[in-house]
Amino acid sequence: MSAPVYSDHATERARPRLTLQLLGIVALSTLVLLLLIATLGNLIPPYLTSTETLQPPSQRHWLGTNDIGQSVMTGLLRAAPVTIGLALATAALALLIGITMAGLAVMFPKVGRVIVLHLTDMAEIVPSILLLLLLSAWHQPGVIEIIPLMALLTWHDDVRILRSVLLREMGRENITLTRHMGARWPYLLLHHILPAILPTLTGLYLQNVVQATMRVAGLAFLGLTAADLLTWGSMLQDAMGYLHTPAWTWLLLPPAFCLTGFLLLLMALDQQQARRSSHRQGSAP
Amino acid sequence: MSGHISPTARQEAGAAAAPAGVALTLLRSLVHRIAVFGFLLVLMSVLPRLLPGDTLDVLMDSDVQRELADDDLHALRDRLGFGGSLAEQVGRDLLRLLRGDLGYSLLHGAPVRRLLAEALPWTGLLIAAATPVFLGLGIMLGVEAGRQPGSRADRVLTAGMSLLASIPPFVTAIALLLVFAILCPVLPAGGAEPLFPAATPWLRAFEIARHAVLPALALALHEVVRYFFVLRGEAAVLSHRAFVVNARSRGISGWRERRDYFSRNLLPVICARLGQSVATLFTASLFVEVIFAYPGIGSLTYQAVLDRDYALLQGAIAVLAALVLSLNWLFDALTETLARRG
Amino acid sequence: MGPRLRPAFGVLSLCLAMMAQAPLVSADTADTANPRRLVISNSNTDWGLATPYLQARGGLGYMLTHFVFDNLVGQDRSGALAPELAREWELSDDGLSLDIRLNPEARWHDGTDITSSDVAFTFAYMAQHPHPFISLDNIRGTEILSPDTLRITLARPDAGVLSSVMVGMPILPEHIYRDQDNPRTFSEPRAMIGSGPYRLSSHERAKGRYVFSAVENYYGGVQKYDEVMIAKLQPEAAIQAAANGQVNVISDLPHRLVDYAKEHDLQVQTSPSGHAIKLRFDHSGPFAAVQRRQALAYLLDRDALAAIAYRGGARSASLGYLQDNSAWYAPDSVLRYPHDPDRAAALLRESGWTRDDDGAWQQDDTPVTLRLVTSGREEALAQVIKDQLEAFGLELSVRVMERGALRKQQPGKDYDLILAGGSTLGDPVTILERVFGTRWNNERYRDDGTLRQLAMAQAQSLDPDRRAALLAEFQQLYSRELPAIMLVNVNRTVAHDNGIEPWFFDEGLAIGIPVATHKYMLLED
Repeated sequence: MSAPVYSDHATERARPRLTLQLLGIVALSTLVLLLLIATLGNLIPPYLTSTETLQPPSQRHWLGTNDIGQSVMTGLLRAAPVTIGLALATAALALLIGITMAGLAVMFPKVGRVIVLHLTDMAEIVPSILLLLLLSAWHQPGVIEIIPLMALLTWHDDVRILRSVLLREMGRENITLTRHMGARWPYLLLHHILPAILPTLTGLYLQNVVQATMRVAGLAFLGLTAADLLTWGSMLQDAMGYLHTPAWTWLLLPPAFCLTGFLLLLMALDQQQARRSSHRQGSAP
Repeated sequence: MSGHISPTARQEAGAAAAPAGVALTLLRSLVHRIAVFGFLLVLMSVLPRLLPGDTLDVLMDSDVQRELADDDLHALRDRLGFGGSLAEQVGRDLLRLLRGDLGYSLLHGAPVRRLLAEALPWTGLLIAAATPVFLGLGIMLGVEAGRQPGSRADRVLTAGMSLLASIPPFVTAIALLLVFAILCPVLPAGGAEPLFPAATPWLRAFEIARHAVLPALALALHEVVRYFFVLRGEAAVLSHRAFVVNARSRGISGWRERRDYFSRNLLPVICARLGQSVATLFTASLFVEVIFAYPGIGSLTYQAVLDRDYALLQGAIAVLAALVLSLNWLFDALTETLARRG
Repeated sequence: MGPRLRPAFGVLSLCLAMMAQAPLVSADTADTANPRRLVISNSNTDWGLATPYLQARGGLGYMLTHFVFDNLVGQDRSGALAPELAREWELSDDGLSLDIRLNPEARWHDGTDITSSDVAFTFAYMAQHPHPFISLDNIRGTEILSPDTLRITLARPDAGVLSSVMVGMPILPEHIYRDQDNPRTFSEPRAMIGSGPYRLSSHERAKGRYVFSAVENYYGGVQKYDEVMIAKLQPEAAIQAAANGQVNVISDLPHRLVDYAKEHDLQVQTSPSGHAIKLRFDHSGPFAAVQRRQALAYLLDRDALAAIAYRGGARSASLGYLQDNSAWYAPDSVLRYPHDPDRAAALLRESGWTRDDDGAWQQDDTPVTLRLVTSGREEALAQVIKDQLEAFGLELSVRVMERGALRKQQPGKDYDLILAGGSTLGDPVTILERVFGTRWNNERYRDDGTLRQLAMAQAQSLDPDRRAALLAEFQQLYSRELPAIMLVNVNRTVAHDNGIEPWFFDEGLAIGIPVATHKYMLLED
């Protein structure tokens, strides 16, 4: 949540091991998810239509069925990897763009910095909803389009922070020292800079995931994503026609809880991560 | 859709640019905004034309007419202003917009300007009603939590707000709709007015206010969270500052402490935040208006997307972008001035 | 709030307050005490203005124009042709000329007399500025015989000249439209001067509200209501408003809310719309073979499609093109294709496809994957079709796209199957275009054999008995050849209070528009 922490993260030397754990959780969950999509995809029962439409929860359908007789439970399970996967991939791409931009600004302090900062400034003020509406009117985005589209609307959040962290790390004595001793940039990057900025990266990544989840869910809720893209957001949209019937309890609540639960988990991770780094720097200023 | 929670970037930029002079910074940000505006204008003029089919196809959609001959189609296109190459059409669009002519929606059979003029006041009303709520609540709760970081009040408030923050804003809006308009229908579920407005102005105003309560509340809740976290963070920093510690040791507390020592010093932050709120408020109002069937500019734009009414969409985006960009420039300028004055 | 910021906030809140005030001033105050007012709700946004060129596409737009602009021929309570602007008409024996005598009492809303010159002008004007619902291809010309009489000459005999052109074409005032080169941007109040029972007296776009008021001394009868208001309301809100007595008719009740409406003491009427959802083919691809089209007809369980995708809001359609709404419907001659996967499999084998061990269908040892395109409206139906085909071993890839994009899809290149709604109402002369035409939403059937000859013969047959026989034969052959598969006939539902009785015409309003809130409902019998 409290983002200000990241900008002056780890004024003390960062201890990679602690944050590696966190990064590990994220990486592991991604991996598990990918595995889920790959293998469990076949185990989740097919999302089939049936004549049992709008059935309340029962032994047969734990969370009831929707208006074309598909099991809501199956829908939730099938939408989970898509919703989460989209968010994780979008966040990663945004971070990658951000770090590239920040890197360019640091490597080329004259031209690069000016261009990058101008671009960031402009990206910050683009009213993203207008751009999204415009693009969706043109073409309803599917998975392949959503990831770059959302990443392009998110990366600017990361640039300045990454740039200042990079600048600080590269100005450190041990880096200059190692550099004088003939170390190459790739080595430095991998062994010195990356571990040092890892906490910042993790924090930014988590925030990007929150962002992406909310944005994709919002777009899907407006019915502006590709029609065959099943996400928790699009399930929420399907529920909107049934608010006046008892069916809202099993059409609306499950996807809403899933979405909120996922976001809550992300924010808890984020806060934990922030607490750790502030705990570390607690004695510093 | 949710906008960003991190406020640092902007402040840092402000701090870095300050020595260069206020005027220069403001000029630079103005140029940026004009560039972004130009980009949006060109994009919204080009994109629809890359799509297969144009408004003429929609208007002449029929299954009983014989297909029109190519010559007739050309003539019809020219007459309706759809003729010419891509560059010509885009150029024509931009010139028209520069003249202040927002175009004509063939689907509504009305000038876009009039459509927007009828919808904007309603969105304005929602935002005007929501602003005091989220500012008041955000500042009050943020300062309350931040003035004693780690206290019980802080922990409870922060936990509550974290929970609220993890619910996507449109879900909050649906929940409000469901609880207060459908399950126990104490407030109207949609629209801006009853079907037949009351004859007396006061009654009518009351009805309008009643219809605005839920959407405005949904809009405000969406923003309260952001202000809370920003202000809590800032207040927490302030609470360790010497002048606050001194004041407390002199026995200053309660309302005076909160107002003179916290709120006043948080003004630049609030102001900077307001700049960003302009965009997020319009975004949030789109969702809120769609959910509450509120006849504002958000639902108009959304309907234009669904109908592929490009003339209306272009006009709406041009106006909204101009509004958002100029308003947040104004707030930036204000923030800059405040920061310079210290 | 700090003192330095106060002025800024003051200005802002003043601006916002002023913006908020605007609607208070601009909207007129409605008079709730008016006893002769009818309120019709509709969930759609904006149907344009009530003129032939500014109406939004779709049935309700046409219906609103129909309030304001009378046509030459109207309908009586049963839906049969009845005098309107034309008091009488006579078709020559060779079917090539139609003499029309106008009602001498008919006046434009501005008081000007309606003459045959207006009618002649409209034919010429609409030829130049085409109206999407009216085809004037067969009209050779018009000849003014006197201020009240007119002769229309046709290129070929046309069995549907009355029930498509005369009943569907709004007549324009020459003195107003004469100088308009671009009627689609002509939206001044005088563009709405018509000849019908009502005039549009106000239109608030932002609220989607139309108020029509009765025209004095209307030549065609007495209006039941002084004022007819059409208001945009979500159907749920409309039901509640109706329960409070604020709304009289809900013109488009979604099927899912029928019970909810009945709980609120509303009466509900349902009628099949005659808008069938059709599965159309790329007639040069895999479905050039008639056995495969027939196999699909046996395979798809149309009752299940209606039950799942529409939950009672539709019924399975007749496969002979015409639906049971039509006076020409010949149920006995149509093949029925009961759900029968074994017959479907036999037909597919006959067509040269084989089935592998898993039950999946193959052509020349490569699996068959069919491509279906549709728009969002039919998405649920497409999903059910996919499930039915895949349970049978036919792989189906579904692409859902926006209607504008759907329109540009090329058969063969982009799809094998296309799923979309299409009207079967209106005079059967429209079969020629709808089945054999080449527009994106025509069936694009290429066969030049008996089916086309039957379609042409019925369109020119002036003897109703002979026409009925030809159409029965057409329906039988259609159900055998299946240029398209009619899947379901979707219902239209209207809800209303006890004070008014809207009704659906079996064959729709004018050119086949399935609405119950037409102007005939607003006139005294």
